[in-house]
Amino acid sequence: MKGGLTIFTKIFIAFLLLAILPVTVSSILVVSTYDELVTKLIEILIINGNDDEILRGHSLVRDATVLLAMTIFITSVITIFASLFISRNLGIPIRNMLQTIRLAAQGNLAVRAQVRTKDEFGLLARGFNMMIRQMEHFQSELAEANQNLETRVAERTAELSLAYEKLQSSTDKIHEANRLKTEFIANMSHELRTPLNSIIGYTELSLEGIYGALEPKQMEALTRIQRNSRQLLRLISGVLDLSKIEAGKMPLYLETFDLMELIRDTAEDLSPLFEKKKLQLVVRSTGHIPPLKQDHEKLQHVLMNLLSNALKFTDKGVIRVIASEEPQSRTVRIEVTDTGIGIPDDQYDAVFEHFRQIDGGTTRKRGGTGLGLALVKQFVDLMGGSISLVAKVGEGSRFTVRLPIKYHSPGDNDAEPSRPVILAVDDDLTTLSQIDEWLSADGFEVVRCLDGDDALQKVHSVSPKLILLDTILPYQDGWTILDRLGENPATKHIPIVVMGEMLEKSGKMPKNASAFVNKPLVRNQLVEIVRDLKLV
Amino acid sequence: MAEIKTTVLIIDDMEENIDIISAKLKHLGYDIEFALDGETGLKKAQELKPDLILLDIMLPKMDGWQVLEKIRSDESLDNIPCIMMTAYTTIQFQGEREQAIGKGASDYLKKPFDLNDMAALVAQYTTKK
Repeated sequence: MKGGLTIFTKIFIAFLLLAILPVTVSSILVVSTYDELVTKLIEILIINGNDDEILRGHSLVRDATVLLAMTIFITSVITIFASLFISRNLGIPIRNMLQTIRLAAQGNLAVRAQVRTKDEFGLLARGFNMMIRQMEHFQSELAEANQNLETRVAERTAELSLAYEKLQSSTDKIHEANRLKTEFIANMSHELRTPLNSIIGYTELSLEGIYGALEPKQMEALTRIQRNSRQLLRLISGVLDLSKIEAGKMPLYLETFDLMELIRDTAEDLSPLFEKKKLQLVVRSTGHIPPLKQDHEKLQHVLMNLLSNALKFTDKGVIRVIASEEPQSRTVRIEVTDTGIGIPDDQYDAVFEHFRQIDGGTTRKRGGTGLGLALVKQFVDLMGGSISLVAKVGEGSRFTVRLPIKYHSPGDNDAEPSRPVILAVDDDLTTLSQIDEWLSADGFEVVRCLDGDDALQKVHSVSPKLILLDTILPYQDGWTILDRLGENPATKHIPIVVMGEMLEKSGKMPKNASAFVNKPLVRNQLVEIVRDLKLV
Repeated sequence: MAEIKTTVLIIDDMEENIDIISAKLKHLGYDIEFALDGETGLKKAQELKPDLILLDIMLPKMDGWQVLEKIRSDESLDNIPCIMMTAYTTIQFQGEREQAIGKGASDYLKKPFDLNDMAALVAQYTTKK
């Protein structure tokens, strides 16, 4: 203990003073009285006594002196030992206690104060021990709770990462399976076409009479072979086209052309069939239609399919194709209306699915494959448009196609600067067209990307105000793309909304993302999130 | 008479294709030569200097594009019109046609083609000169 005497010393000194002071005082008193007594005794002896008595008196005095000195000495010694004993008994337990408390304060809760006596020190030590035991207990409980918590966190993390891995691997498997499917269909289609090529070729040569004149019956049979093989060829091409679209491998070829001319040409091609069924075909436009910048061939395919469909399901009446411009949304609307058998309400969506025709029974009677309208929808989606249907059973159907007047491909610099661009990255075309539809209606220009590499390129050419990024993408997943966008000084300022399933639960909310949105997407949610970012 | 006839060289590994095309073209009065692989095709082109070559893209030994490249880099063959043919297409046609023309082809036919369309194309390129 610096800066002062220890309690031990203090007690020792106190006792010393307490003991020595009375002894000294009494000694002085005794000595002075003794002195007086001896002097009187000598006087008596000198007056009355002989030498012997004087000698005896002298020895008596010496003995008394020695006894007195002895008494004083012994008293002093006893006092010193007593004070030593007392101070030890008080000081040492306090020091021990102090040492124990110091150890405990340093975190060693296993220390215990020694209980040597039953006095107050004993009680103090016991009380202290009780306290420290309690503290030790609390500490171990806390540690246990912590341990449990850690174990649980570790377990949950492991579970999550396992689930994530499973999801990842099943997604990879799905992508792989899809890729294999597409490859298979592409190869298959080639293998199917090769023999078909010969069938069509030889039939044509025979029909032309190159192998000699034909009987009418032969002619009829060959015509049928020709018609059916062409139908088969269309079917194979359709399947291949669909799989190409699904694999995101169907490119757009943009050209500027006149819509009405395209509609009239398509109608012209089909006019023999209309005449044959004695159906009327009306083509007209309301108002002026600006030139389109779109994929001419795909739109032709769409029109051809819609008209063939109308033709197939209409036995009498009129088929109308009406085109008009919708200037506020910069789209054109093309309506194909028939007076055919119609479609029940609950079948509207089904007609756009592959290999579906409403009422399985009509397939045979009407012919066709159920592929045409599925392709129409895919093509329309691909061109950045939408298709809808209104129909009444027994009265007819109306298909309405809306297409952007100018398809904005990446790097298309004449995109109107007034509309902020949003880059949507998703490998699912349906999701992309949903996003497009919803956000276009909210005043944005949506540029679509089917994979991350595409997005990394387009982000430079379209300079988007926002990126909507799916987590699960082919080749490189959304997280990788997110990191790469965040690393690039040219793109790191662009807000990114991550779209994915179970995002909240995974806790993997990445640092570069501005927000996330759960899939399947909900229109209001998405629009709300985008509005909240205040891009405009 | 044979001298004034127009010669068309068909390079295709499918014999039936050659048979069909030649039947149509012979019927229209063309002289037909053929080869079943790229190498032989190139050799025949060098020997015969045909008026037109119908060239399949997927060929053994040397594919159609390689044959085309050799023809275009040979001064004596450089001006022979070459029409590429392939079955490996879909309705998406513009891109492939542009690609073919970019590589030096005169035109492009996707199989199965209408024999009359093919004949019209052949006539277009052989009556030009």
